[in-house]
Amino acid sequence: MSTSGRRERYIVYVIPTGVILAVLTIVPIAFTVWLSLRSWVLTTPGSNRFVGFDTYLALLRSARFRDSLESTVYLSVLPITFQMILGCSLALLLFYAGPRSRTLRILFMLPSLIPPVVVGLLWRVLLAPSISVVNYGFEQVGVSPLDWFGTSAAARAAITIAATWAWAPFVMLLVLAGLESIPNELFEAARVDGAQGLQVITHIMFPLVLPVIYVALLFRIVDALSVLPLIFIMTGGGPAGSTEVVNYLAYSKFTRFELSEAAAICLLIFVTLSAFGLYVASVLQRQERAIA
Amino acid sequence: MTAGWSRTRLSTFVRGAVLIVCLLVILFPIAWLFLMSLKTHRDALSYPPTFLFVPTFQHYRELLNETQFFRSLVNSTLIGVGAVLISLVVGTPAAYVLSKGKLRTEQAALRTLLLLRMMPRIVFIVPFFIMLRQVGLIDSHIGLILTYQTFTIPFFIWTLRPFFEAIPASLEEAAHIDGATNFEALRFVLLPLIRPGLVTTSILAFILCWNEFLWALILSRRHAVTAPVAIVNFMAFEGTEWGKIAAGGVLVLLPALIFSLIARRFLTAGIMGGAVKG
Repeated sequence: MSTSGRRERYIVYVIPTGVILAVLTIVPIAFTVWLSLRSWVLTTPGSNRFVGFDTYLALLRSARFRDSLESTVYLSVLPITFQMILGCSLALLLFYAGPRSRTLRILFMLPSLIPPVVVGLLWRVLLAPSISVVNYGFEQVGVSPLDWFGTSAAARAAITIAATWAWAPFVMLLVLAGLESIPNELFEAARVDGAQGLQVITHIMFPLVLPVIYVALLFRIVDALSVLPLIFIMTGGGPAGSTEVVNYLAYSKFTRFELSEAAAICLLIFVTLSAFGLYVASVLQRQERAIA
Repeated sequence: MTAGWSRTRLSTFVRGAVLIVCLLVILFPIAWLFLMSLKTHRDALSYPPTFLFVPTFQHYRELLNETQFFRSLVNSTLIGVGAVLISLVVGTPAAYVLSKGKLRTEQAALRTLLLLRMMPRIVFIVPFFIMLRQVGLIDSHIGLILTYQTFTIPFFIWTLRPFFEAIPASLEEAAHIDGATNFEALRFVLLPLIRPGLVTTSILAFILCWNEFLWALILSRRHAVTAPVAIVNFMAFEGTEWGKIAAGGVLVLLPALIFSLIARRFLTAGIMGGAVKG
């Protein structure tokens, strides 16, 4: 049988996947588009009618939506920055510790293995002012305790700390793998040429793992909205909406049955993530080709 | 020479010390959660916090005897296993076909699947809620198992693909020369070879389902409530029952941790979804 003939028959193997995923994605997205052009509030009879782009326009004009974008930027940029710095530092530390650190590595990874809901719960337990062991630690070193969930800045800091703790190991793991793929000869050549510790890092390791660091950063940005469960448990979007990220806002609209508004927000998220995701996919494929 | 030697020793020592301090800081929150779960109500509420106390398993006993919470653990298990089984049956053949991945359409399919894995869960909540309401699957295990296919199938395909790619094409050709059909070659030659990959992928996909929160929150009421949702619910109701809250956290955390460690060898591949090779 010719190869092409055989390939034809392989189509059968992809049909179930194709059908299931089409029903679970194309139908919902189409429905979301349709919904976002209407003004449906589930609890208001007669509200389900076509309004064109009015829902979007109202959304863009609403202060709450703009505030949620601002919170999203804060709660993406801050955690991701710290995740990258901490992840890279830990990777470097473990890399220098050598192969002996293999068992240690599992321990460093543990936070990334914990369900996001439990990450939120855990940090709520650590920071809740009436019992906060972190505040107790602060008092011991002479820092005044914080009302972690009482002010906007502190609440954003709390989410940032929790998210950094949970996702820095992911960055660490990728960067460490990148560092270990650097051929040993390069380090030896550098030593022969008289390179000092810091020079090795800036002139050999950093340029060589930069592509990996970049991929880690892209993955973290794509995943930025996954702080949602932490926000659910730790702050509930408060105080004063300071931790109400854009997907939390969509959720609140949904729970108040403002379906069209929720759909419009979801569609904006979908379009943004699709565009960025396509870029990430192209970067990944380019790197895959470069390695192969 | 001696000075150089002792300097290396010193820097090794400093690095070791930094490593240990980092580790302690990173692990402390987990340790604290465990400690908290073993404290009596009064110890848990005390400030300054108690570091030495008589441990008690009372919270675990209470939680597991509480039908609601125990049932949520059972629900999470059933939904996870169901979702993984469907993805295993449906996704494995697709992963096999797409592992050839040379055609333009196959490349496009893989990219779409990657995109789907990146999509935040929030995007689907409104349509999923309406769709499941239409077919009467709100608050059912089946409803969650079906919607979870949105991320488990792409995960299976991306994670299994490298395993299929690692098998030399000559093996498959040999099977065909011996008269095996496509299905027989897959079932009796390829699948046994990638069994470790199938097991690992299944475990990791189960953890994805176990950890899922947003859809379970929206698509369940009482009957199909999963463990993460149960935690959020009782945090709202139990208020300051910190010991009990911590114990609930530990019970949700432990299975994820244990299964992750079992699948640890392949974890790097799993996290990246096979997106980056090498």
